Amino acid sequence: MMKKLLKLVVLEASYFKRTLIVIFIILTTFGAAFMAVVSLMLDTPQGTLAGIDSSKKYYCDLYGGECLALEAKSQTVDIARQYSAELCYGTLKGITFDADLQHGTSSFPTDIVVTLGSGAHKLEYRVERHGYFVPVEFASRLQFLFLTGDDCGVWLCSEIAEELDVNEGETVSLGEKQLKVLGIFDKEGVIHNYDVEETVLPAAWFYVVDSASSVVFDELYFTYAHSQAIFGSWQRSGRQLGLSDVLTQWHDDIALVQTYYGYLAILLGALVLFLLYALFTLFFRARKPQICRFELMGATGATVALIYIVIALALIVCATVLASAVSVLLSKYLLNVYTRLFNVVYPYSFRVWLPLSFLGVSVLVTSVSFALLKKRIERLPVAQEVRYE
Amino acid sequence: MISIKGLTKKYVTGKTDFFALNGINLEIADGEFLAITGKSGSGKSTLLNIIGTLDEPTSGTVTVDGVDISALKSKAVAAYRNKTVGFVFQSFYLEPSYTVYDNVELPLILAGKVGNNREKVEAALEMVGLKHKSAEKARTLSGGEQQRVAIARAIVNEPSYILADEPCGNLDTVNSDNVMKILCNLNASGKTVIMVTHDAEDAFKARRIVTISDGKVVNDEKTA
Repeated sequence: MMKKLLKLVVLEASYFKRTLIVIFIILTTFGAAFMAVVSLMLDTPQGTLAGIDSSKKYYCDLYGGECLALEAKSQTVDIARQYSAELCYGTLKGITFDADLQHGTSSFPTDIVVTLGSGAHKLEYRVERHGYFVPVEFASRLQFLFLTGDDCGVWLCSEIAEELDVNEGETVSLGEKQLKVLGIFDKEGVIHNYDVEETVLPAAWFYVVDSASSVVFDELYFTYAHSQAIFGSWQRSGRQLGLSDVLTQWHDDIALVQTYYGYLAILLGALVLFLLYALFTLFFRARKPQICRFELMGATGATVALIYIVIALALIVCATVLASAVSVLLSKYLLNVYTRLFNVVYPYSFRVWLPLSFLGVSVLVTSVSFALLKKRIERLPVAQEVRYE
Repeated sequence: MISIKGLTKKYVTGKTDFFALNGINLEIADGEFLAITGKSGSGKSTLLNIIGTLDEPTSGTVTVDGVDISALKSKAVAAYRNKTVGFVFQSFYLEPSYTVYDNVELPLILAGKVGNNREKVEAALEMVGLKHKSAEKARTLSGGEQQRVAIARAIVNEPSYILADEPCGNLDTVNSDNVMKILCNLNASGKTVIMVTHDAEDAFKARRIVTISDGKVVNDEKTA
């Protein structure tokens, strides 16, 4: 029975090969598009700043659909770009906002919340575009706030300022980079002598480093401070977390999501195609009574159905594998290529036009495919039209 | 033996009824070579289709070897098409991308015979003189050759009845003669051949000619 079925499947598949290729393309395109969409929709809102909790699981939070810019202008450009391209797909660049640092309030309207760390170590910043930059839970652990851009500079914790023997307005050397000390804050996170009206923070890129000895922030620190050029002299004790470790963990999580949704998408797509095929067949049979050519030679309806189910399953498996590969390729490499080509990190707009272009292609391919399928089915399983002459 | 009693087939076209077959009564003995003739639209193909279970009668019965085929369940219908009758059509209905061998083997596979089919397939192809082309794709053959492959496919399961609907309709004279010779040989080997044709010359190669007009048998004669 198995041999018989396989033989029929192979015969039938070879007969239908062009149609099957079309269906395969549809499934693959749909699958890859769906996976890309899901991946981007799920992942891109996870924004500019990453947190690593004690289980080393990467996460970051973002509400409002936008996040802060990562713009690599310093000598950490390569690391930053790689990091942002790999970890932070959804980034905006060039947001300029007025900044104010206050303590202990969360009443400002916000576009964005970026959460670092977890639990008791959480530092949460609420950022309103063209609005305020407010540390909500401004813990004593904050040491410095680093900014690049036109007004490149750094806020320092008073302890650090003392250690470096610098005052507000002076220049501090961080590796090879000279940074102006824009402000100094105390352990409570209060910045003294800070003129809100005059200071505009380009905030193209910022770092927050916590000096507490918690594992959480040690890891976070070393993740962000991977570039020894700037942070080398300030590097705190703690385990150095390799970037590759983070990336691997993160990609594993995403790959799982991609595969899961990809399977669902392809299964649904296959089901829809199968139903459409059945409807087409029934439709044409209803209009012109026809006998499938296998039935003509003695196949039962169940045998014919089984043949098509096996073919459909084979298609689904193959399409899933290919779509997964395409999706991974896109998410992992294409974005990096894009980043390197255009010298910017994965832009916000990418989140929109990549899925849209995918969907556009899918719709186009599907339309053409169904047109071809319809034509094919019309003249396909017909062995004999039974009607009066 | 095939026994047809009171067979009617009605089509509803708009508000009017059209009787493709209107009270056909016919007995076809085993081993006969019967030609069914008539003008276009007379109902001859409809009759053949009903005998082959490709269509269902509106009323009346068709009994084949004592079994009323219109009362068969789908599985039994499949078995009937697979083992009792073999079809030959004007348009061949081969699988163009299959090889000649695969085309002829198909009814055997559908009958559950997988594996040792070569002998039967080659015997069928030998019968129609195409054994040497068994590895070729069906689409590469001429019309006459394709029809011979279709005949080989029809006989590979050794059915008792060959149902041929205008088997020479798409063929030139030489190929028509070849096909008719094959059908005559099959009949001579004991098969019952029922052939629909509008070609008088082909019809006269049968041993009995039934003429249908407006869904009724208007003439039933033996040939010399």
